[in-house]
Amino acid sequence: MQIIKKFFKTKESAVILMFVVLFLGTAILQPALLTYPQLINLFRTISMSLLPAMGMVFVMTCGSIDLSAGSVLAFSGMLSGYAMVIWGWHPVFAVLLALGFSVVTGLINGFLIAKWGLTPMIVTLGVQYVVRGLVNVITKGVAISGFPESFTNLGQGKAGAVPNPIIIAIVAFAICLFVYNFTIFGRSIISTGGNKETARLAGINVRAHIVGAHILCSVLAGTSGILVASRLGSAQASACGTADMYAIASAAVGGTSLMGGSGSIVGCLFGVGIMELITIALTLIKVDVYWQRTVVGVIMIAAVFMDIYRRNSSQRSGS
Amino acid sequence: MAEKKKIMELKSITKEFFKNKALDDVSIHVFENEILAICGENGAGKSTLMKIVSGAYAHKEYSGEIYVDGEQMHFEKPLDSGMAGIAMIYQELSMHLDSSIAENLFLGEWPGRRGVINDRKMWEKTRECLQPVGLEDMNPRMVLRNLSASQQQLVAIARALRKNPKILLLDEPTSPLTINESERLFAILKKLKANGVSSILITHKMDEIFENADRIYVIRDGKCVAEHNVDETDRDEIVEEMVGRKIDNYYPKEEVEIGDVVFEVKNVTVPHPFMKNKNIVENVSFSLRKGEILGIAGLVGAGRSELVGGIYGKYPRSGGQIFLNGQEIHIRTPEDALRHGIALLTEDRRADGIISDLSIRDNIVLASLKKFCRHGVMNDKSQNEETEKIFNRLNIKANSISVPAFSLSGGNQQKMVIGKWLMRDPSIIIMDEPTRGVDVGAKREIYMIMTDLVKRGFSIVIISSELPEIVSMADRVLVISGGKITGTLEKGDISQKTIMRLAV
Repeated sequence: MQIIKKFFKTKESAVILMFVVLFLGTAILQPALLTYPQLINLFRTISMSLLPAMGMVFVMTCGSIDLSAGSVLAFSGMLSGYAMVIWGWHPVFAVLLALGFSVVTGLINGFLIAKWGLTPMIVTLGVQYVVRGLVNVITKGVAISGFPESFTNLGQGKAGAVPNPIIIAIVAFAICLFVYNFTIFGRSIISTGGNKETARLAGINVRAHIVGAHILCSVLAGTSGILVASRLGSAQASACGTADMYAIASAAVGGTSLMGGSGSIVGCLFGVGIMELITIALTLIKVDVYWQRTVVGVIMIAAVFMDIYRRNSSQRSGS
Repeated sequence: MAEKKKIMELKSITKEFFKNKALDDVSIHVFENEILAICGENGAGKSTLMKIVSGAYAHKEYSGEIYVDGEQMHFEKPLDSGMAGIAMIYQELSMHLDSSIAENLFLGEWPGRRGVINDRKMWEKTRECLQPVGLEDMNPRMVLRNLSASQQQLVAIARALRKNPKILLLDEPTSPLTINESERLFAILKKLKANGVSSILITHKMDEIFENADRIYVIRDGKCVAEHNVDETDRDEIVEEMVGRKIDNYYPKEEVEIGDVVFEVKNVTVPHPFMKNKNIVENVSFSLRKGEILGIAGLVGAGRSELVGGIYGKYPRSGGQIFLNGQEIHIRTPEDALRHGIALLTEDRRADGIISDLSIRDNIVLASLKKFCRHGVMNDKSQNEETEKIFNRLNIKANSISVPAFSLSGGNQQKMVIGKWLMRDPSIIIMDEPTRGVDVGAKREIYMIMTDLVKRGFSIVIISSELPEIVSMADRVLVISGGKITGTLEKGDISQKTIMRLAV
């Protein structure tokens, strides 16, 4: 009983519960969900979406937002592909180049926001356009393909029975979970989002941490872009157009506040889980594909609503 | 005295938050033409009571009855109580800082036709409305942010008066005001009283009650424990009823041996945040000795907070040197100040003292994160142990160190913020209004913490608008007016009168 009570007090309880209900519901309606290929498929899509969503948790927690994540994702995949195919670079260097570019984008985002005090939404929207524009300029709208096998292996290969993206996602998840909850960096970001001035007066370098969160977010988005390119075997200019919105939605469903100051990496995992599960479940129970977005939207609002309800009731009992 | 007419009556109001009774069978009444004071510690239930009267809680959310002019009322929303002639002025300013005076006064009810606002008419009416509060010379188009805190407060009162209420509720109205401004406010309330408007005043300040109120209710732990006519009681009795025990020594000041000068600032100048080419603090120099409590007094707006904020690196400084133990130190950011063992307890804890969503523990360790980590990784166990020590030492009232900060009362939040600085273990603590919005019991505990700190060899700078506090606690007092030091008072010369003479 004690454990159950404790569970309901955590901020992740609502989203975990929702995921479990959805999962069981789908499994009952369509037992095919429980087969190996379906489960692996579910976990793989979760893995792909998890990286940028976790990055968004960091950025949103420190009171900012990153609308450029989707563009960075596309650019990073495209850039690594371009370097390998056109310039003939070794995949390792191509990946490093793409990640380096992501760091620079995060740095620019963070710097404009933290140092010059520009509004995060406008700054990152601008960067979104700039980067997406660059993708189009370089590719001229043509997809790049013909990657070396060592690169496509990254997204398509398996270690034993588990596809590589899942392993990469598990590692990234563990690192993010640790950084968010157990390091000075994580605590400083949470404090910065909670009250910037209080954090600054307590000797925390608020600007550096905002920049840091943006870099982390961009790198995670960039990594995801490389994985997507590798998995598809081609990099497209229009790839993942709404990845940033999707990441924000998953983070919000997972209990991360848009106002900053509170968030959850575990919640984010289940937030992504819910989003992906719905898509797969709707396909499995043969709902028209065109309904999917509508349903996702409704579930999203319901999840955020549950979170607000939980938060209000805990605030009232607290005072 | 002739039988007075009851203008409002509350009968056995009980309000529960889950299982906690915030108000337990409270019955009070308000007569016509009176100023009624309601006092009690923070968390006693005063604000809850006000929210019930003002309709912020719908009548279904509590039990009990409200009568206005003998008629039973069922308030659903604040608008309903407004219709019944009750106007509320909140403790925290609820104004739109970027809108003009006129727009604030007519918020939501801008005069006009078919959705088009008639500005000219609004400005004319605004001038009329501002007259009772003595602001008729203000330009109605001025943006509220450019007004002083007290002027903003007066605009809020003008807004409440605009609808000709019968009862005015004021929750700690004088906390942002200077003494002169408070006096003006009470002159207004007395004038209103003569015109048939009763006021309900919630306050901690005994002086205000005894100078202005006619009757007092004391609330403790959600119960109404006493009712007095002001001329039949005294300060000590009220304080005793508020805290439920006798306080023998309100200011626990102890003589501590004062050592050498440890900290000195020379010619500190802080530019004005809004006005160019103007300094809010100009060429201020002072020194602080080991074990000393140095008081900084002055009216609100004299530059007291800006002075210490400038020293601490909260505000940019345009000039000045700072010496610690004779060595010049350079403070550009709060980080620098903390590294040199200087901490600043800020004036407005909600704005920059606490992080309300975080737990008590996370708030207390906030300034000392590096103390609890190795290679950037936080050690949970040592954080809990150290926090627990401070939690117990400061006697913070909460179920555990993991409850969020917003669930604490003002006094306990303030103790938590003090705990944050103690965790950092500084040698100099600057306290800006350390007892603002803190109830009587917690106030005394904060004074005891201060005494304890100087005994351990800390030095304290205290800024306060409450003169008795400065007079009783400080060993030496600097008085600031218009950004400059107008005088220094040594131990024997400190009194409210001498301070005020220098401050105005």
